[in-house]
Amino acid sequence: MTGKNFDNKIRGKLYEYREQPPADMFSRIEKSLGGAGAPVLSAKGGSRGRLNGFFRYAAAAAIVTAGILFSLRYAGLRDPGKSPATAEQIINNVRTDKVDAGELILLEEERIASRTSNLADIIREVISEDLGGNTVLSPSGAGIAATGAEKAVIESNTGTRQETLVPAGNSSSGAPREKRKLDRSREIEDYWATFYRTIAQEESRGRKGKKLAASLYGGNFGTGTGNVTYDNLAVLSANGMLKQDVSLTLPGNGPKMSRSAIIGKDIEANLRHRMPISVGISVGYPLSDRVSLLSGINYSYLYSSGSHTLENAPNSRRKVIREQHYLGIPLGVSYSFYSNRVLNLYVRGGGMIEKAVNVREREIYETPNSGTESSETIRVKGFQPSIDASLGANISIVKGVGLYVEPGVAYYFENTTQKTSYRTDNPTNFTVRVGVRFNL
Amino acid sequence: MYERYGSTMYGVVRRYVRDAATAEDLLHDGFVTLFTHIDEYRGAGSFEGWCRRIFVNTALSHFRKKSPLNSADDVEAFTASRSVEPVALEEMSAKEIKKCIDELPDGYKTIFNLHAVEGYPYPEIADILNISEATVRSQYLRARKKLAEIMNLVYHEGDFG
Repeated sequence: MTGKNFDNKIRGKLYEYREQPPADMFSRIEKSLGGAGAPVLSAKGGSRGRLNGFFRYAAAAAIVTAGILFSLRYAGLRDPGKSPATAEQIINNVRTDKVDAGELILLEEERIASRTSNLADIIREVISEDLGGNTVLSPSGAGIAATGAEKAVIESNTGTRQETLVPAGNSSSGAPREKRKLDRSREIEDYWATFYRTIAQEESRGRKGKKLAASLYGGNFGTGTGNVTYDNLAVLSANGMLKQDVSLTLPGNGPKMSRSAIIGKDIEANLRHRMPISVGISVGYPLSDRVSLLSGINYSYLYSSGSHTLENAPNSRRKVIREQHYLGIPLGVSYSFYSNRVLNLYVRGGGMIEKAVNVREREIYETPNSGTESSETIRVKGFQPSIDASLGANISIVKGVGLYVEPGVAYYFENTTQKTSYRTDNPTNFTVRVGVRFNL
Repeated sequence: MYERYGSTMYGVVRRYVRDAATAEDLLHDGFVTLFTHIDEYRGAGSFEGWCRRIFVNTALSHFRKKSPLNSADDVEAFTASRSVEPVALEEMSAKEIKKCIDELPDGYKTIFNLHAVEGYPYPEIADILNISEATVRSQYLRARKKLAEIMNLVYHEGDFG
């Protein structure tokens, strides 16, 4: 195996090598950032003059404070008669000052990046960036006043010096140290917040596909019917299956009787509510990596039928079929508690407001020889509110497409304006929803 | 950010220092540096690459105190060993290879990590470590030979001997 090949294979194996850090590492980092400040990077003493040990701290303190002093209120302006101090003098003069550890690290990075350990060079480099290429020199302990144009001694890159005015409001020259630190902290925080938000958004899009997820679903297919059999007409009456002027005989064969008159008649009757069937479109908008806001449109079909035998005609029946069509707008929230490339587990909860858009009742008289049928459309006022909760599992089958199933429970609030149905007999019922989800 | 990069960067520093306590300190220092200077990232190159440089620099700062390359010079010369057979390298896991690298002296390990794993060229390594490019080359070749010997030992005999 050639050396290059060996290197490549080693790199392929180790570049992504990971180890789990200790559980308390992040809290240690947080403590350092919020407390005494960042640690000091070590430096090696050597022929290029790098500092170590105690002098590293002192020299770093001098560098940082010197850089700040050039743009702060300790003005050489106040005593323009004094000859400007060199960077080395400033370092010596502020050696005992406390150091901002964050700025210390900045300068250490500068040193690494600039491949130099000459502290004076670093000071000039840092300061010149603040003042557009010129270096402001001032006596020890001096700086530039925070307000108004102030005189300053400027040393240009060519080494010539002149007295000039530093304009007020120059953020690098006029701002107090505390404000500069605060601005800088805010800039760092804003940058970090923006960056992290971008990362989180990218991760969210990567994991869920895109911003929106749409799904087609159906619910409660083949889950059975709610059969109820009664042996009298009272239940049909209670469910509105018997009209006021119902007849127990074939139409035209006898007078119509009032509903109250026929209750209690020895007539076989039954009533059946089928479990509702729902289909719909759902749209999910992710609010975060785990939480999504859900809405969409839902269609439900409710079927009820009741029948009873006719008096003196046991082989004949009167049948009433009620079909209700509801449209509803769901609103809910889902929370994903487990997710990987293939499987996403979540809980969903919310509610729905439905409106009966079409209710038809058909009345059928069936005899061995003939039958008659009539129908009417009933207007149902009001809305049907409900709440529901479910557990969901979404399995990704191809990129951007997944199949999901959501078993759950729903509760339909009592509402006398609605026609009776499976929901009115069973306000709390078990639901199963299956669907296809697309990441848009 | 810590959740995303913590284990990766810990892996980086662990490749440079064998001692877990030292590695934890370097990880801590590296993240403090990273969070404090996050605004320095200007988008040139990947963010992960930028993070790696911070943690590699952090690890190197640790070694500067110890002059690690001196310890590499102290390693007695060894005869040319057989190169690592392809099947050994394919069958060894990253963790096993990392353990072999841990057996190298600090100087060898540092240079080997910088060149073979991080991909730093010789001149840049020389600049970072404040040594000559020729020294980097010779140290790297010795490191690679030594590592091959260790990997052969582990693969065939199951131990570091």
